[in-house]
Amino acid sequence: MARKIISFVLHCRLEDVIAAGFSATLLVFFSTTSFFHSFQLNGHDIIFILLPVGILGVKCLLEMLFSPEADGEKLDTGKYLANFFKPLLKIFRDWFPFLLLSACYYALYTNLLLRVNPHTADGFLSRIDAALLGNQASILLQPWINPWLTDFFYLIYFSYVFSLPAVALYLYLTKKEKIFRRVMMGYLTLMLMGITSYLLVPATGPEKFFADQFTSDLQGHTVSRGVDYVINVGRVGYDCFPSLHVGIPLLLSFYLRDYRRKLFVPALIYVGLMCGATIYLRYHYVTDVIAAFAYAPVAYWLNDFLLSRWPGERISIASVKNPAPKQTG
Amino acid sequence: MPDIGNYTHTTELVLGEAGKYFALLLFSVLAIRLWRRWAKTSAADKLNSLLVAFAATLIAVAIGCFSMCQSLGKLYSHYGMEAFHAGRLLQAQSLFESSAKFWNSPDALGQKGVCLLMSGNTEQGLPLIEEAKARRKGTGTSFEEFYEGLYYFTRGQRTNGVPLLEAASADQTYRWSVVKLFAVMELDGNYPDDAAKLMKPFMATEITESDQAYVIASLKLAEGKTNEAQAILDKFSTRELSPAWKTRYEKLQAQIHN
Repeated sequence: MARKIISFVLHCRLEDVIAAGFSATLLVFFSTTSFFHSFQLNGHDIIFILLPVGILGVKCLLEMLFSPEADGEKLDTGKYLANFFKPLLKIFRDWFPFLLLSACYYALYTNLLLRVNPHTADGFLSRIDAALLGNQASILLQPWINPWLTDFFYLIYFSYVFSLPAVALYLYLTKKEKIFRRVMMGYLTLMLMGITSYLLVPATGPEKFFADQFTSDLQGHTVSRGVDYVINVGRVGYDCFPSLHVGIPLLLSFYLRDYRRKLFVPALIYVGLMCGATIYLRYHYVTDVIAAFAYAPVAYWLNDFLLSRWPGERISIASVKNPAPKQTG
Repeated sequence: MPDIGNYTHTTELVLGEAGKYFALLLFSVLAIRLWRRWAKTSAADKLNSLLVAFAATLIAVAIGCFSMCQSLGKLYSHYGMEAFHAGRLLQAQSLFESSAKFWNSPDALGQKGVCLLMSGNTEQGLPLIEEAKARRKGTGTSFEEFYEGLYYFTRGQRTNGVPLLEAASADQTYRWSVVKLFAVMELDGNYPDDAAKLMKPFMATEITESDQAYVIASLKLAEGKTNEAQAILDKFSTRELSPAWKTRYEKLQAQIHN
């Protein structure tokens, strides 16, 4: 029996196993402790990853509506209905592990983080910054504060929530499913590395830690205030080290180098702007940004390593890194 | 700037509405395809195909009716709340009635009840609020709890009002108003020290409301600062106040002049 279960697990997709394992651990943890009563799942946790799923679902339905019937009358009703729901279930099945982990990620932090490790590491991280730069970067940047620059950086910072869903949606729409899985698994690997890091090194960031030392407000316009509000509401507290706002776009830029080399340099420029935004807006220490440059390559390599060795639905990294050219004629 | 509660509520609303209309699209497309298939099927399978197409159409219609009614109910309720907060009680009542016609939810009943209560129609308002609570298995919304508590407060029925106001204060929207009302209760009971404790975190806040002015002026008077108390009261004209506040203002004016 145990052998059968292990065999079944090993033949599943890696992302399914991670999502199921992570969710089951959380479920057991919450249902056996008093945290169950304070567990909160907010729509915000999943809305950004649900957006591409919804777009794909609507696209699929509209295609079905306008496509001609292909011998549907020859199939019996059960098979016809199964064929109708199959593409929708496939979308759900491909995206579900990422949806589940996304929800768990936010729920985990909202309810748990400081209960695991109540000692915040802001003092330690800020001391590293001070040793590197002589003072905190966000304090040194105060003379350059400008309302328009604040608005610009807020927009850059907020665009992060759309960057990964947009890339994933593009890959899925262009039927590059193996690449889609590789990119999404890379994202998951980095997220899980980030979670471990946040549990071990929780920090609030310079905005709160040095609140009494800032002499100037960021002075943004309505755009900045709105984005700041959404970030403060949706943000998981104590998630500073490393900066995933930098790490995830950097990881995406590595994948773009593999598949869309022309977009690699613009992606790196975006990463550079994101580095500026995280520090200027006082969300991260410079150390967090430097750490992101270490975490992203590790996640990239680790993900490829896991995907190529996992016995389930394996992905040949060599084949997805260098997809065979389309045959013509 | 909207508050966190509103943001969470909006996110849930967007997800709920998107889910409903996606289900509607799903079953509508299925029904259309099934009817197309029915037209092509052989005579032997015609009845079976017809039944399936009919069932899918029924489900689509049911989801459509449910979605439209619930969405319209929510829309009317939203505009009703806007009218209520702007003080247009008659308009709000009419909008809440429309909301209940489309989707007879406990919230719509409670909102209509509060509207009636605030218009002075206690006999109809209170039972509606009770009915709304009963339909939610005894739980009231903070909106209902605050205004029912406020009603009892204005009637001098502290025992009934205090638990409701306490419950409403869990919602950030009503916390500040409840603090002011509790401070007024302490002042009415001649306990200025307790009122001062309640208002301590807000003493430096700019005075913009008449109830806030009354509380702060009373506390200044209790400290013996009659000039400051008078200056605060002078900012608000008693002509624009409700009878309950007018009486309190006049009483306070008299105490200052004595």
